[in-house]
Amino acid sequence: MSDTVLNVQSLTAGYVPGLPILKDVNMCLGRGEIVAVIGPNGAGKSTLIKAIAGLVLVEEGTIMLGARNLVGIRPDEMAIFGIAYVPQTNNIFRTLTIRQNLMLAAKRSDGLVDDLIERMFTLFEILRGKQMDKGGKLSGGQRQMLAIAMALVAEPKLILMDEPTAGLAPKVAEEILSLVQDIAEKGVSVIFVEQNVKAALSISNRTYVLAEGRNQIDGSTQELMEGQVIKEIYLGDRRIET
Amino acid sequence: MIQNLFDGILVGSILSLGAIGLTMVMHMLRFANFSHAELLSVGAYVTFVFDKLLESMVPAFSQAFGGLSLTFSLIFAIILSMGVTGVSAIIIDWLVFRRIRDSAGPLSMVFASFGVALIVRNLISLIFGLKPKLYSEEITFAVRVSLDPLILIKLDQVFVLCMALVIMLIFHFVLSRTTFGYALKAVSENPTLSQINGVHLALMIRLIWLIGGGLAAVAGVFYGLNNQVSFLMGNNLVLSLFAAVIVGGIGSIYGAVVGGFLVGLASNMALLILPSGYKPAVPFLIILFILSIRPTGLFGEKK
Repeated sequence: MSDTVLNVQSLTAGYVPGLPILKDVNMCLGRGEIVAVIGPNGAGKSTLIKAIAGLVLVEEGTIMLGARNLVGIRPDEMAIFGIAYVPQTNNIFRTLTIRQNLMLAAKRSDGLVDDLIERMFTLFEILRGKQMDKGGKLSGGQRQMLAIAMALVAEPKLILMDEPTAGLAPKVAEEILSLVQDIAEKGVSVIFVEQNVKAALSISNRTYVLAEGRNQIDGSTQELMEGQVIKEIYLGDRRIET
Repeated sequence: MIQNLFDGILVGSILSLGAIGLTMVMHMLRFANFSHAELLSVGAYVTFVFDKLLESMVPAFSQAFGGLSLTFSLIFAIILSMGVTGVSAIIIDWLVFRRIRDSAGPLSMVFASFGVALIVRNLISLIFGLKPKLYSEEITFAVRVSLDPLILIKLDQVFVLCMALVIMLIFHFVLSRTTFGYALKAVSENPTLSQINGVHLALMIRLIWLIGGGLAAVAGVFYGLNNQVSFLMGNNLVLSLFAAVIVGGIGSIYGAVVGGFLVGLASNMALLILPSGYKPAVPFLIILFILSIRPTGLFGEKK
């Protein structure tokens, strides 16, 4: 793949040493590409993006961002390398105001902060009027928007999203997915975990199917949609052979 | 009654300063640190040592400000003591709590904090003796504010109250107007999310110990200025500090401030209707009362 942003090779990782959740996982991602990670519960989807974000212990393998191996880098240093992570839940600070959330996430104290925050309010107009409200007062969809804004305000090269539409009303979920497409069109790469497979496939360029911590199927979304296995999993709820 | 009210506010301001550090540590490191109150003793005694040292090195510094026990040497000693006590808190964490945090649960941390409290308290009595100390041997007289009702106020008390309020205002400014303040609140609320947002967690833990220790030192000195410096100071204040934190809501810095004033006021106002022997029970009554209305404390967030 040309213009590769991220290359994960033979990744073995988990929460407890010696008990890996991910086993020998590979993944590749280009600039401005949207990659969906799907699979059954407990497949290791969230663990994979947590491992990339530096939140999970990596036992083996490499996570190359360009020429730099990210293994061993602290989560707070990931922003320096242009990686932002949006957790599924508890992804904003409820006790800080919306503006304070964005100021903290911007990770800089120069004069550009106000410009960056203004850009976020242009993108998420609904947050502008609530900027002095505490994060805890926002609705589920607004929280998700703020969480994405917190990731974008740091001007990342790569955004990792854990189930960005979970628990949202269908219309709001649609807005979020459309937003993910807009982000990618601006050259930011996105990896997102999604339970709603149809929604995931509708916006992704490439899809990885994980089961029991291993790669099962991967390829361009177009190819996978045409293939028999994905169709069967959709329609017949067939369990993937491992 | 007004006298009790004033005394309550004064004690409340001291408790608030001590409770800020305790609530930050309790929320962020997820354990009840029973050794925190001993940092008040450490701060008070370290100030005592620096005060005497500075007085002997620069005799001009021993001149008291009119009507106050306060001297230049004491002011410098407080500043130095804040740093030393903060660093002591970091060292205690590094020697004891960090190791337990890495290998055991919060309950082990609580028991360890009892051990640390005992060690610190006994070390202080070993070094400084059992006899309480005074920052100044000079007798300072109370000023009669009113004859009926009789209200007596020492200038030291006014100074302590004003300084405590100024420190709390500065802390409020830091929390509400600076990115560092946002990071402090963020770490208290959600350590993992704050890491994702670029906050260096290990550094913030050290800073929280430093700030908590520094504020505890000031609280210890202020308590010592109005009473005396004793190795039992921490032991005497520990339950009131916990009451302030629990009443305010664990993790809420503003809650700790309000909780401190509430406990201080209630303890002193209770003297109007209860014999003084019951004073230590008042913080528990306040805890019971507040928690029966709001189980998360006044400013605590529901899970």
